[in-house]
This record gives sequence, C-alpha cells and structure tokens, in this order.
Amino acid sequence: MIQPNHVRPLAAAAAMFAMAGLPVLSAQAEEVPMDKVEQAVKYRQNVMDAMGGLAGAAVGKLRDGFDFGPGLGDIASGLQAMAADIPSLFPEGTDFGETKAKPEVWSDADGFADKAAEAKDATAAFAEAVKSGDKAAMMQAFRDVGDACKGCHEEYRKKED
Amino acid sequence: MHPPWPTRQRPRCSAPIARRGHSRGRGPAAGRRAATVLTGAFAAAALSVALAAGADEQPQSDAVARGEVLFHAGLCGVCHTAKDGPPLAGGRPIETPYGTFYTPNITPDPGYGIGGWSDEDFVRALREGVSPEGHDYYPSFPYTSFTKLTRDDMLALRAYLDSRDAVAQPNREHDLVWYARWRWPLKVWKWLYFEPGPFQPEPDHGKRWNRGAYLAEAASHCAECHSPRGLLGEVIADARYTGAKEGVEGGSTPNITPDKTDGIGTWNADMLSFYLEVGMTPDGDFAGGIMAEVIDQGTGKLSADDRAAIAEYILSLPPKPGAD
Repeated sequence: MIQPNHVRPLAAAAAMFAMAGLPVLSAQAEEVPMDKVEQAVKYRQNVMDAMGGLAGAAVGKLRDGFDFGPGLGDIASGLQAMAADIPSLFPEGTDFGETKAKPEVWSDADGFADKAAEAKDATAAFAEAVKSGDKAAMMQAFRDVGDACKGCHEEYRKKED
Repeated sequence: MHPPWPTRQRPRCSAPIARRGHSRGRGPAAGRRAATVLTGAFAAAALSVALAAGADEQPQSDAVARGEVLFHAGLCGVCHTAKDGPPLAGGRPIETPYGTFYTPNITPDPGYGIGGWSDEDFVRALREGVSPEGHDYYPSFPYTSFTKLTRDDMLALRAYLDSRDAVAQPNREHDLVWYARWRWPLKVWKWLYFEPGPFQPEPDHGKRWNRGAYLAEAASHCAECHSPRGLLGEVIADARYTGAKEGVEGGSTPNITPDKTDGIGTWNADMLSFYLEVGMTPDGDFAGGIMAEVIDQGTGKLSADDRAAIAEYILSLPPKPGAD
C-alpha cells in the first residue's frame, strides 16, 4: 500500500501533541486550514446563536410559561451541550475576519478558559435544576447562566457594530 | 467669574479637593440621618456611635434608601470605580475622541473624595456642572442629564454616597488632546448645549411614563451613550437615542428607539424590562461590554416597577432610523 510521505510525520506529531497536551487540546484546538477560517468563524457563530436561541426559548418556558413546543428539559440539555467546550470553538488562526472575538480570547487563553468553564458549569447546573422541577431553583440557575454569558462577553467579545 | 481666556488651567477636577472654609467632613450627613430617628441626648450618644461604627451598620434613613435607588439608576458606581479598584474611588478611564478622562473619587473621604463638599457644592456640581472651586466640568460627567434630578433626590444621593466607605485615593489627571485641555471653552459649550434645571413631568402622560422619563433622562442618562455626538461632543438632539458609532470605550452603541429595523421596535415593554433585569435580548443574546455593567450594577438592582417605567418611556420615544 502506498502511503504519501507526509502522513507519517503528521500522524506522529498529532500523537505527540495528544499525549503531551491533552488539556491544551481542549482549551485551544489546533489551527484551522486557511481556506476554512471563514467557515470556522461562521460555525462558531452558529453554535453561539444556537446557545442564544436555546436561552431565549428557556425564557419562554420559564418566565412566560408556554407549555407548547419542546420541553424545558431538552432545551436545558441542549444548552449544556452547546456550552460544554467553548474554547474548542476558538482555534488558533480564527482571530480575524468577521469575528467579534477579541484578541484576548487567544492572548489570555487561561482567563478565557476560566470564563468558559463558568458557562459550562452554569449550564450543567441549570439542566440539573430543571430536572429537580423546583421553579425558583430553575430561575436562579438560569440567571447564573446569564451571568456566565455576560461575564465572558464583557471581556472577550467586541462591542456591537 | 472666570476670565474668558485660557489661564493655563490643567483639568482641575482631577486635583484633590482642597479643604475649604466650610468643609465639615462626614459629620452633617450622619447628623441629619440620626436626627430623623432620634432626639435629645440620645441622639448625641447615637451620633458618636454612628460615626465610630462602619457606614454599613448605620440604620438607613429614608433619604439613604432613596439615594441608593438613584445611585443604582444613575450608574454612579459604573464610571466612578476603576477595574479592580475600591468602590467609588474613581480612576476609571473614559476614552473619548478628546482623550482619556479619569473619573474622580466620590467617596466621602474629606481630602480626596467629596466628603469636604457642602450640600450646595454637591447640588451645584450635578445641577450646573460646576466644581466647588467654580470650574466647569467636562460633559464626560453627564451633568447634562443629572441637572434634571430634583434637589431632594440630589440630596438623597448625597446621603447615600456619604454612607459609603471613604477611600483616600488621589485623583488622576485627565489625558486630553491639547485643544481640550482648556476649560474656558466649556463656558461656550454650556451656553450652546446645556440647559440646567430639574425634570418637568408631562401631564399628558401617566405616572409610570413620567417616572420612566425621569429615571431614563435624569438618572440613568441613557441618551448620553446611545446618541451620536457632534463635532463639539454635543449630543445631536435630532438623533437622540439612535445609537453612536463611537459610543463608549471605543465601541458603538445601538439605536434604542422603537424603530422596527434599526432600533428595538420589535421588543415589547416586558422584553425590555427583562433585558434591563438580566441582560438577555429577546434573541437570547446576552449583553456584553459596558451594558453588562449597567445591568449588573444599575438597572438589575432597580425595582420591577422602575424597570417597567423605563421600558414604557423608552418604547414611547419616536422611532428613528439608525445613526449616521
């Protein structure tokens, strides 16, 4: 079987990277090929918009009390899934073009990872609260999700334009 | 009066406030509070206790409680606190096309804060945009809005500020472009663009609308950031609330008139109230930047009624297309 020459070193590098830097991998994924940068930015925005859509839908259930449409449990677990690994959405090299991400996402990767972890924990806690069925706990947990979103947007997202 | 010519004045509101003849420190405010609840010798004893105890342990008088609402509505803490700095001790940079302003210390410290100010000094600063020494303030301090507060509310705000911890932190000088360093043009600026005087309720509108108008116009000064400014830094009256390309801190601010395409015309009052409470737009997006601070430290701490009032007022503005 013929194998192109460059595959082996690449695979070796990937294996080394995986072994040496597992936490690094999840915090900051590898570079995206040049011809995919715009798609990667758009992909990230779509995931973020999905998160926003789910948060907005949660309010319709929680605050406005709509009992039609999807269940709050599904919405909450969707949110949890979207927020599970936010830093992975910001690979190296996706810091220009139509992005609203500030350079600090990459230059202050640790601070950003901390904020992302807050969102992960808050959405997980919200999903738990929804399972508990306790209305007040759900509302508080949702506020915490909002605080996590705001906290990160405050420091790592450019202002509207 | 000031000489109408430049007198090589450096920005002076950033200099520590010198003690003046009638400076009296924290005594009078604490005395006023105590006197409302206590009488006679008991008052004297309680006063010394109150002065010795930390500010937060003092019983809150009506004025302090009302002042706290205005403090939140007025977003004082947002600008007058530096990132990771002590509350209200100033030093937050306000970046503008004219350079960077550094907000001053408004804690009750008698040397570096406003503890040495008389009530008249405080009222004059908010009503007329004039410092106790008689210089005109730059409109980066939104006295253009605060002038609309009632005198009672100004004094309530003062009482609340007096109840905060004093911080002996000196002010930082503004760092402005050369032509903005003179203060004398501020006299002309004020003559052109500033109309002092308290808010006048509009009898055609209901009580809630008027409460909202008062909070939004006099206290929360929404229009100061959500309006484009002209060459001289003045809010362009016709485009009030249509957002600004160069809003605050280098970012733009959105149009908040109820225009369907450029503004928030697709929001209803309940949606806007909820946004002002938790920071979520009807799209599920969460506020970032300075608006997140405005919500966390300001509108989110108001009563639901006050938020509903602001929402009613903002959505009653004439819809206008976007700025520029």
